[in-house]
Amino acid sequence: MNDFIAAALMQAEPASIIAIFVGSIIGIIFGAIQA
Amino acid sequence: MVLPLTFGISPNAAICMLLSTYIGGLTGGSLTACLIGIPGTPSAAATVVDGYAMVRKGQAGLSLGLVIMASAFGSIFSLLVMVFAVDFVAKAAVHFGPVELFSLVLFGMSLICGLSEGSIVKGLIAGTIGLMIMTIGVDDIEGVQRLTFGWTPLLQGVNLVVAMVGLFAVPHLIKTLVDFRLNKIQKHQLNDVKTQMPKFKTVKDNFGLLSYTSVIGTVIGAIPGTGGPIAAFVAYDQAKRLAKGKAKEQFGKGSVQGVLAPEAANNAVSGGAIIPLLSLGIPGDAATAVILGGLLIHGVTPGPALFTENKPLVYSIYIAFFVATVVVMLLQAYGVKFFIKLLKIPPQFLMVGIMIMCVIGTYAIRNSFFDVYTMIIIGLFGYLLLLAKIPATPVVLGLVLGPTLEKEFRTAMILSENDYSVFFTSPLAVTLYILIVVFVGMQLYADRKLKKAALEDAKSLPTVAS
Repeated sequence: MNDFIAAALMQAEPASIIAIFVGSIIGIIFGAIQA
Repeated sequence: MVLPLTFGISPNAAICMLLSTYIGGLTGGSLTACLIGIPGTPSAAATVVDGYAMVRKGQAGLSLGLVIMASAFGSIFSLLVMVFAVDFVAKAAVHFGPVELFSLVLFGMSLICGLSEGSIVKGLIAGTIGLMIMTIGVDDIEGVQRLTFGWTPLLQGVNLVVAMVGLFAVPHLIKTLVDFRLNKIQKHQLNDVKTQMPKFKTVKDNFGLLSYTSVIGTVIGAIPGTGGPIAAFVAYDQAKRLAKGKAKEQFGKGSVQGVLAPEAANNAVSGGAIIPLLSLGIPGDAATAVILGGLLIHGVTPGPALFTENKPLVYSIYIAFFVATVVVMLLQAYGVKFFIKLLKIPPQFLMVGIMIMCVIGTYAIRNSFFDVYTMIIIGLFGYLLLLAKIPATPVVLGLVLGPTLEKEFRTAMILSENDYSVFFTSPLAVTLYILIVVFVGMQLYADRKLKKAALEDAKSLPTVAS
């Protein structure tokens, strides 16, 4: 349980949240752009 | 291409970015598959049939909504399977010795056959190139120089990021710029559309189909060398077989099930492919091979040891996977207009921006121009491979799995005092060797069958009288 809380805290960092947003946008664009 | 962006950020944030790009890429390919009938990725090819048919019927919003919902369902389903399966496999793998690990990595290398894009010989050539690049530098065990030709900068070897950026980003950039120069870039008409999420009844009625096709995707994803396109077509075929009456007639004409089935399956592949990646350090498909490279770059070595040494990181991967799925779903549901605008930017402009990012990112690894030159040289070499139709993914597989393969092979040899028979003492290793032979044999058979069919097709074409 402690490990899970530690993991959740790692994900709550702004850097991780920004990384997910940026990664998702890049992923969607490059997934689509190959057409 | 996202790899250079992950330099300088924490390993956790880097993993988040790589995972979300992977998940975003899977659904992004379906955006164009639905809107213009051209799949962005091979995984979205099966979605074109009914997704684009719905658009022609004036149901573009619903088509996109179905894609988004099925994709999220497939991803979350495979995540749940992944959470249980990864732990189970990793616990079993803790007891593996060098012989088992060697056979396991060798099995992962047999993935090359599945990634050869039609020619196993070309795939093997590419895999060997990857292994050769990885051996450049000083040997860790005996300190012997390999392929350095007495040149000091090569003593440190070729950095994995440099090689990956060179092999994936640069050839693609050159190709786009060459296509632009030759006026070969196709322009697509993208109209604005508003996403219309499916009704709860649609989800309820198709819950069984979504679950079934997600199982198909997860299982296929976990088998090395398969991946999204196979899962999507198998799921589409199954959905068509299961459909009855009027629903069956709708297939190919804009069927709801025809969109849901391939989308749930090709997204479920993501969780399936991560099972062998996290638990054994073996990638399930081409994209996870790149993710494996990214993890290694950030000092994270997937495998059974990760579960005992850094459990919070494993959990954070699960959480990142879930959050990324939700974010991708929301972005596509509410930001489709933004993406359509972005897709209207000429690709040559995007490519110039990416090139700048690659150069800065590569330089930042060790503050070394040598790495930038290496990236450009490997990139030019990658472009030649592209022209020769030799796939780049097996090269990366050689690069990421080569060191482990060599380490386990040599450890086993040292422990057995150079007795080769040690590799046949473990039942698991022998089973894996048999599986490799079966797997390669099946690929060769499928290749031969495909070539035979193509030859017969060519013969049946009417000849033009001179």
